[in-house]
Amino acid sequence: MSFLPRLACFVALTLVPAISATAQEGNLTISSGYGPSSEVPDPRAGYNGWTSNQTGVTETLMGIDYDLKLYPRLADGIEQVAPTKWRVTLPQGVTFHDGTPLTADAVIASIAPISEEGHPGHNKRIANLLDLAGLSADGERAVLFETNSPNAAFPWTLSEPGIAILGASSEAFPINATGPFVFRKAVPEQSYRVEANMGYRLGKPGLKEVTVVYANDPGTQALAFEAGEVDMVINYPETDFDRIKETGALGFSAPTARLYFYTVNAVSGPMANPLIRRAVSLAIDREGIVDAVLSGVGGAAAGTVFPVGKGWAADIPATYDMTKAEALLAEAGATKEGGQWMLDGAPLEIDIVTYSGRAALSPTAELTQAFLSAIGITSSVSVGEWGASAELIAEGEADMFLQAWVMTPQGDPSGVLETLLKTGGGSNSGNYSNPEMDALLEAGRATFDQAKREDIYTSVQELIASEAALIPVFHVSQVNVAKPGLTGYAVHPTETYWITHETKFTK
Amino acid sequence: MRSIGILCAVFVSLALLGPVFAPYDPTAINIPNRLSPPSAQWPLGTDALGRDILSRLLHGASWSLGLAFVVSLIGCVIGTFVGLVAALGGKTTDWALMRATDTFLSFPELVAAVVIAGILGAGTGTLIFALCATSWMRYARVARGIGLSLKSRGYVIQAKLVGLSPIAIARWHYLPALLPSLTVVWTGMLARAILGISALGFLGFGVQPPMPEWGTMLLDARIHMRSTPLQMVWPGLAVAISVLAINLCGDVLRDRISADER
Repeated sequence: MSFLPRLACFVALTLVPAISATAQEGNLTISSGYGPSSEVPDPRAGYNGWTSNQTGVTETLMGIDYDLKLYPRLADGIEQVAPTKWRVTLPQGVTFHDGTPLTADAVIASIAPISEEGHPGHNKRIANLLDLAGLSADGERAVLFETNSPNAAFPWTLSEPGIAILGASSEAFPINATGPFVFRKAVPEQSYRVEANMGYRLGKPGLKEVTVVYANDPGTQALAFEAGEVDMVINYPETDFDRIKETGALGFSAPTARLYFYTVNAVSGPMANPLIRRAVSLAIDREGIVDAVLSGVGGAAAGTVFPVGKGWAADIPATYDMTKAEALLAEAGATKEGGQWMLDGAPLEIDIVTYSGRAALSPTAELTQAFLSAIGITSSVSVGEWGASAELIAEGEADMFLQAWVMTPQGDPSGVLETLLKTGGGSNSGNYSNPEMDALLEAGRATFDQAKREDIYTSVQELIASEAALIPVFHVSQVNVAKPGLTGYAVHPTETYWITHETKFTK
Repeated sequence: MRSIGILCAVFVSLALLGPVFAPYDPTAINIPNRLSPPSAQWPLGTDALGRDILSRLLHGASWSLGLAFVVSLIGCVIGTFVGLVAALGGKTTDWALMRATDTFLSFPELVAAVVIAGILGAGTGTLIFALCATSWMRYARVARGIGLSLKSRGYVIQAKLVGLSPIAIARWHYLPALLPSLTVVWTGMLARAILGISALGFLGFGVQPPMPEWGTMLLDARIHMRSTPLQMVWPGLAVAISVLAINLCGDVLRDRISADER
């Protein structure tokens, strides 16, 4: 290669970083662990709504604030006009990204497909939450929702990110929504790019462009942050949090409603016995797990399913009592021989399954194994995929399934508890069934008096604890890091809100 | 030559006796002392759950090297059997078995092993099956090649004429001739098996927690790579040195056998 082409190459290589640095001003690149499933992920399908809500593309009629309180987000207000009828009013002057106005008909056209099987926006999970008997317009700016049965959680359900309000899609606006950012491009399992919606009703967004890139390994995410490839990491490794902050990075950490818990096989094996389930629960040193797995910065030991101080949480401490655990095992008919608990003449053995999607799952399972071993219970740990693990426990081939769920994604306690613990619940993989639990959950849904609802869900949590219907371990704090210059961002307890029009990033 | 022999002897000893030398229980969790740096008490430090890394490495040697030995030996038996049947059988048998061998060979070993492990689920049994299913083909090729060359030798034809059974012919004439070449192939495959076991362990398909295996140790340590990088260095070094030692040993064996044949 002669001198001139070499010089041209050198100049080009020198200028490219400079040009791209200029182009990135006001842009934000976020690394996250979960990616879009298609090129145009319909926000109503699966959990796509989480991404579109997090990136400020879509909005819901109701919203959840940072104290888990409900507020009218896209709606003007909501009122109950009959036990099964709700009237949602819409504000004037709201437009979709393509400029068409937000009307009652548009809201109906957006929500109705959620319950229509075969429609790309169909979502069985959300359809069950809505439990709609009908939808109708009450003039230009009011929608009447009719539910099949009285449902006190209905206003909260409207904050579910999957119930995104969408306008008619077009080539220019494949996801035509109302948020401060406009969807531009998604590469399945790789990236999701949005641009500022300059006509946003609450003000011009502080960011020009946001790109979410996906890496499901926290170690990879951390390296990408240090290499300058991303400006922000959602769910940064807790163990490296202190060190990265010392390098000048901004650290964000706040408690969330995400609970690490064990689903128990309630129909076969040793965990079918509530006494053994309670013994196992008492044998787990939750504080020790939080210290070891989350480095003491990322969570709080959980005695119940809801996080302390965020509403709905009953006063149930995270108890660690080996003596009581052993007493319960003896009460269950187990005998201790040579340091090993025996049940019906065979060693008491518990199979624990979990999945590799979150860094804290595997060590939590290993620590549980160690705590069980300390009182003389043999256990095995198997780390696979989420679906495979759920199948194993549903088929009775495992005894405990360690999972991590946001327990109040809509701010209300009913939805997640019903799917996890109600007889026949969609995610009741341990097949737990208790008429008393079913009755309480139904009463919780049908009771509109807030104080009475709180009492009901306190009773639900007490029943969960007394039966060890599921075994809470800890509530995790979301630990995020960003480069200096990020403002207008805070960790949301439901993990479903990231970027708002007020978020800014100046390098 | 002597140093390579010593190194190999060390690794064989580790595989057999590693757990005996381990100062602590490799699964004993010690939360207050998690992520401790190397010290007199913990010569290689402790991992995220406070477990002694040296003890885990020594126990891991049994898993990593022991499993590699088992996998490569099973592959050797299957491959040799397939190769000999192809060589001694008719043209149709030879064609069918060699096309099957080529089909297996056409898949990258590790990718195929990951697919098998992914379908069957993580676990030690799956790990052995996945690696055995993808490691027998080279033995089959070598056994068939040597088998075909022996088929027309006078003593083999004589053995057939006196009525010796095919099994007896294989036992007394083919296997002794195959042994040197297969030993060289085996050392190479042993090293590949160590890498395969570590790779599958690192991807989460291998030995399940809390049992220590070098690949799973790497997997567990990756999250602490920036804060305590030594955690990754030790199992990484163990894999690298053992593979290097076995490969060098294989090279020496090959040279010796080549010299003998000349």
